[in-house]
Amino acid sequence: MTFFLGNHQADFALNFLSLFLEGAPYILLGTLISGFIDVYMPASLMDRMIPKNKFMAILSCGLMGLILPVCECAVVPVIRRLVSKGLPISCAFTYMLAAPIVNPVTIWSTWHAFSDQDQWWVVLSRVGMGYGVAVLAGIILLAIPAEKVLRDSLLRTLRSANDKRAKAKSEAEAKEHAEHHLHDDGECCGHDHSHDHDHDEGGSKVVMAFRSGVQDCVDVAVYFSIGVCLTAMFNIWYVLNQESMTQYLDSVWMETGGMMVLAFVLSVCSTSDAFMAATLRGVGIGSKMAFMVLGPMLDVKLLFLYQTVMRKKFLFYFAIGLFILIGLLSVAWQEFEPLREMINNMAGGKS
Amino acid sequence: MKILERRVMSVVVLMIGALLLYFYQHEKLNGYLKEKFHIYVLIGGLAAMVMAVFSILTAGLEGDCGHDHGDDEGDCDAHDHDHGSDMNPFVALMIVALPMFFSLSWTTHGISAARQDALSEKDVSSADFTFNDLPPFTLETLEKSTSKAPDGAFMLNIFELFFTAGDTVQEKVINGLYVETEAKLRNEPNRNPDGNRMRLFRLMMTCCAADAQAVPMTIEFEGETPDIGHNSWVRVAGIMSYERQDGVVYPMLKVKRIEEIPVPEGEWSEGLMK
Repeated sequence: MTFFLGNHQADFALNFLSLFLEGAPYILLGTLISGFIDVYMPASLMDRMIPKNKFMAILSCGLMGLILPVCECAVVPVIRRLVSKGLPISCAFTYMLAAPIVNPVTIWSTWHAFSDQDQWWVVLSRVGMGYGVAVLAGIILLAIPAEKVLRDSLLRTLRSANDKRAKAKSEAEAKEHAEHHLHDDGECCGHDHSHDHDHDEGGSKVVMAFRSGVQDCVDVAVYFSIGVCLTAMFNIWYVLNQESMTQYLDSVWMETGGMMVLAFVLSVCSTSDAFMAATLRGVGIGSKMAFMVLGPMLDVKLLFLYQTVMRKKFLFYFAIGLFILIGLLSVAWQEFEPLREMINNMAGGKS
Repeated sequence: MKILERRVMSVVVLMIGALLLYFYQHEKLNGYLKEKFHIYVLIGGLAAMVMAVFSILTAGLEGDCGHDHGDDEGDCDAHDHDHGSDMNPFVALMIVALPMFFSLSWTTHGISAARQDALSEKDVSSADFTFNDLPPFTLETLEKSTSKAPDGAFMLNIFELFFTAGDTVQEKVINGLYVETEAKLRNEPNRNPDGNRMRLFRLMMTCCAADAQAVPMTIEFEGETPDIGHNSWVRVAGIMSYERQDGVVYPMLKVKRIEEIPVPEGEWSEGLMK
């Protein structure tokens, strides 16, 4: 490590520790939630909660962050569990991409950070673009088989869970059928035939929930550590070369691309990145959007966290696709002046 | 999963919790994170410790996970809530522990001089920033809200002075005023035609130390530049003015007095300096 860092060891240490201290509490929260989801949430709940229509399901999952607000670090372990509980991949990815943006904490921080800069326009743009990109990703995922998206370990878990659900369902149907015959014959024994296999030993469940949470935490912490190491190194390189980099940012395309690279490298938490974007007054609104929409969906540490869910090949295309889509939308957004004026006038804000 | 492996996994979480709690009580936490994040460090640390200790103590128990098991499956470990992991716990321990260990041994809890140089070298226009929390700016409000040095200089921080540049109302108030500020001192790398200028700067953080940026301001001397060490903290007083170059407004202080001072108390960017 010393070989790579030269005389920047102290800066690496400061970057690593500051990013780790910032992200680790949210990862712990996410893994704790995922542990309890694993043990306490019945798989059938997903079937009941999610609309049957695939598109409606994706649209509603994009808004789940309003009820279960998590940032980008915490959302990864949560969706791993939700997928193994039967949440369709398209819905899970929509939630994963949208939740760090479409949640009350991020909305409030964006509102607060841009309080003197077209705040209605900025908040609506960020939430709208984040939601739109997440929903579009979910719709595209409807057409991609799970084997091409999920990593093997998660796929095995999912298949095993599906097999169990199918088996349990057929057993239940067979039992119901048998009981139906039995009752028809008038041989009812007068008690409930449905046996509850949920041996409710609260203490044991808690043990399993914590055990599951610990395992998720370790899985995610490994990738998080690697991601934070790389972010810390990139950050050192960026600071040393920012002068030469900024001279190329002379067009809206380059500026947008530059802000996306910055979001990717800095890996700022989605709950606070608006404060950083808001201070950059010389940067166009489209480029700020690119920074605030791409950052919560894709950065160096997330690239590693996503590997706990996705196959590497899929992740490669997924990352490129997100980068291009958000870049194009952000540049287009910058040109939406009439709409911007209209929203600001409706809100009575400054333009 | 074996009991030992469960315990090793719990140790990884324990380590993360210990790191968070160690830094929560550390006097230099504000050198890593903005204050609003400190409470999460405490909550995260406590949660990790509880999770890890509980899991270590119960590693030998076979729990009931609460869902249906077929008769062939026996206990929870047969279908296993430890599913999904393809990470050897000992490898995981190394991957998480090594960067932590190296970082703890390398950190000075502050930003290195080389990084401060790189950050403060760039010319920054105040038009590139905006701040929402600045109070309304008139000479009257300035008189009411700002202390003065014994020689009558308004004591303002460099951020307040920097962000007046480019705002015509604020420039009008500040231009020509006698002000005093404290910051770090370095050579002026860019706009220094007569060689009699130096640069003041301070670092600001948005979320964590990794996003630190420098806010600079040029100072100009009537004669030679003083012999003060690079990156020393100084208290400077002088007359404020503004320089316009290529459409950018730069704040500038024409120095009347300058003295070296110790690092201000609570300055987040300065570490313990090993």
